[in-house]
Amino acid sequence: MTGQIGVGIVGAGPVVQAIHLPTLARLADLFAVRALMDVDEATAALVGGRVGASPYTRLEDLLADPAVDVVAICSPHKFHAQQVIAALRAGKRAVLCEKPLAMGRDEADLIAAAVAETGVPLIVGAMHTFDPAWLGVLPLIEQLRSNAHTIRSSIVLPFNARFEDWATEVVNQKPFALPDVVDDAFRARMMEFGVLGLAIHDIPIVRAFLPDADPLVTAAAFLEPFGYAITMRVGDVLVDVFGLLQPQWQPQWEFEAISADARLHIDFTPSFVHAGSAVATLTDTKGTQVFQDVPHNGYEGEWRAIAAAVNGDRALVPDPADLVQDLMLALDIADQAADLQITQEVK
Amino acid sequence: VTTQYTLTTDADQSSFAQQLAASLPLSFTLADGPSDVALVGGEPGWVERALQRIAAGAIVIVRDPSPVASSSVDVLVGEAGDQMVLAETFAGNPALSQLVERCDDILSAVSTIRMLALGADVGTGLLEQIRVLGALGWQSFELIDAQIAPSVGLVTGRCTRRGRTALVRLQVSVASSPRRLCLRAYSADGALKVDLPDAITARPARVEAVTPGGALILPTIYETAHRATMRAIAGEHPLAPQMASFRADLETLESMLA
Repeated sequence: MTGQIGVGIVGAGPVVQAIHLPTLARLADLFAVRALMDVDEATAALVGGRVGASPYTRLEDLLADPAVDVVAICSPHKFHAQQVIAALRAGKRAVLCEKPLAMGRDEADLIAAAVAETGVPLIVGAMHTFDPAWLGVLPLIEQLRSNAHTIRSSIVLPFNARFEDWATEVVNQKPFALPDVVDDAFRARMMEFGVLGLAIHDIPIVRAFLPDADPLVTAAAFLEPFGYAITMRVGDVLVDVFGLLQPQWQPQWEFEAISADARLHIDFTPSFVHAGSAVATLTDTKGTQVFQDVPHNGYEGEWRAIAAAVNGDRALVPDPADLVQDLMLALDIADQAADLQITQEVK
Repeated sequence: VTTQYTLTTDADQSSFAQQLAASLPLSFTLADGPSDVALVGGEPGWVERALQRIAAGAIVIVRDPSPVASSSVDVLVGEAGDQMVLAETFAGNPALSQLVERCDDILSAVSTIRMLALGADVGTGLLEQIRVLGALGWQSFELIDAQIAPSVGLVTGRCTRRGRTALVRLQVSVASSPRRLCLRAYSADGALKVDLPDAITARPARVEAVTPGGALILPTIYETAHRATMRAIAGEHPLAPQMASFRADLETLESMLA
C-alpha cells in the first residue's frame, strides 16, 4: 500500500488521547488518523478535531468511511467483541483491539472465527509483546522458556494520570478514587479489574513460558488502594503476579523468568509515555547480554506491526488461537483470584 | 481556559513539531501561515532563521542551537532576544532545576566536576556541557588546558559557584551510540551522579546524591526538555531571557577551541 494508512479509532478516552494519538503522530509517515468515534458527540468532535479526523458517534458510520483502512477498538471492555467482529467484517485491512480482547470464551471464539472467515489481521494491544527489547531477546530464550521454574510479573506504578499528563493534555480525565464503601464484593470486582486491566499487559509474556498453562491460584490478596498479590502454580512452575498503584514517582515495571542456569530480567517503560524500549537482561552460564536503548516502545511496535501487515508482512501478527488462549489465561487467573482474595491495606 | 497558540516550523522540523503538538494539543495547534510560536531547528543558519521569524512577530523556539560565532548572536541579546527561547536537550532537562532545588547544599560544596558527553561533534558536545554548568549555577569558566581532536575533546578549567571554585573537566567523545551526558561532581564527603538521556524519547534523567548518611534518588519525570520548554511558554511563568548567557557560553567555547 502506498501513502499513509487511514486509521479509524473507536473511543476517545485517555488511552486514545495519551497513547494512540501521540504514537500515530510519531509515525505520521505511515499513518493518518481519518476518523474517530465516541458516543459523546462533543468529545468525538474535540479529540477528532485535534488530528483532522472525521468525528462519528456510531460505529457503523466509522466503518462505512472509505478513508479508514485500519480500525482501532479502544472502547470500554464490554464492547470489544462486537466491535472487533464488525470491524473485521467491514472490509478493512487490519484491526487493533485494546486489551482485553473480549469478556469471555464465547466472545473470543466468535472473534477467532471472524478472523478465519475474513483473513483480516487482528492485533491485541499487548504492547510489551511488540517491545524491541522483548523481540530482541526472544530468539535467545528458547531453552529458558521450556525450563524456567520461576516467573514473576511485577507492576508498581504511580497512578495513570501522572503519565497521561506527560504524554498529552487529556480532556475528560477522571481521577482514580475508591468508593465510600469498600466491601468484599467490591474487592472481588477490583481483583478481576486488576488482572484484566493491569496484569493482562504481561499475560502474553507469561504465556510465552507457559503455553499450555492450567494455573492453580494458591493465594490472592487485594492491596489497597489498588493492587493485587497473586501466587499460582503451573505444574512445577511458581508464578508471582503482583501489581500496585500508589502515589509515588518511580515506576517499577518488571518481568522475570528464572531457571537453574539462566535468568531473564526485563524493566519495561511505563504506559502512556514514549520513553523508548524496555531493557532486557539475559544472564546465563556464558555471560550477560543486555537489550536496550531502542528509541521506540511497544506501542510504536504494535502500530509498526499493523503497517507491515497491511503491506503483506504478517510476521508479527499473532495466531488468533494464541490471542484466545492469552485471554483465557487472564480470565482464569482473575476468576480464581477473585474467589480467593483477602485484603491487605498498604498504608 | 487554556490559551491555544498557533505553531509553525521549518520543513525539516515538521515531524518533530507534529509530535510536540500531539503531546500538548490543548496548548498548541499546527498552522501553515503566520503563527504565535515558531519552532526553528538549531542547525547552522539558525540565527538568521530565528531573526526572520522574530521579524514576523512570532515567539521563536530554537531546538538545540549549534555553536555559532559569539558575535553573530549579538543581535539576539536584548529586545529581540526577549522573543527567543532555547529548547536544549541537556541544559533544559527538568531534572536540573530539581537538582538545584533539592541538593543546593551539595552543589555549593562541590570541588571537582567531571562531565562526559557522547555526541555527534566535539564543539556541540562542549557547548552542551557549558550550558549544563550554567543551568546548575556554575559561572566564569577559566580555561587551564584544552586537548581537542576530531573525535574527542578533554578540557580542564575552573569555575565558580557562590564564591567556591571547582576544578572542571569536560570530555566529549564522538560516538554513534545515543547521545547522553553524564555529570559527576564531588565535595569533601559527597557525590552527585547525574545521567541525562537524549531527547529522542521521554526517558527520564537519573539523579543520585550520595552523602555519608546515604543516597537520595531524586524524582525525575518522563518529559523531554523540548516539551518542558513548550509547556513553560504555554504556562503562566515566563522563561528568563537566555541569550546573554548563551552568548557568554559561546565565548567560553571559543576559548576552548582556539
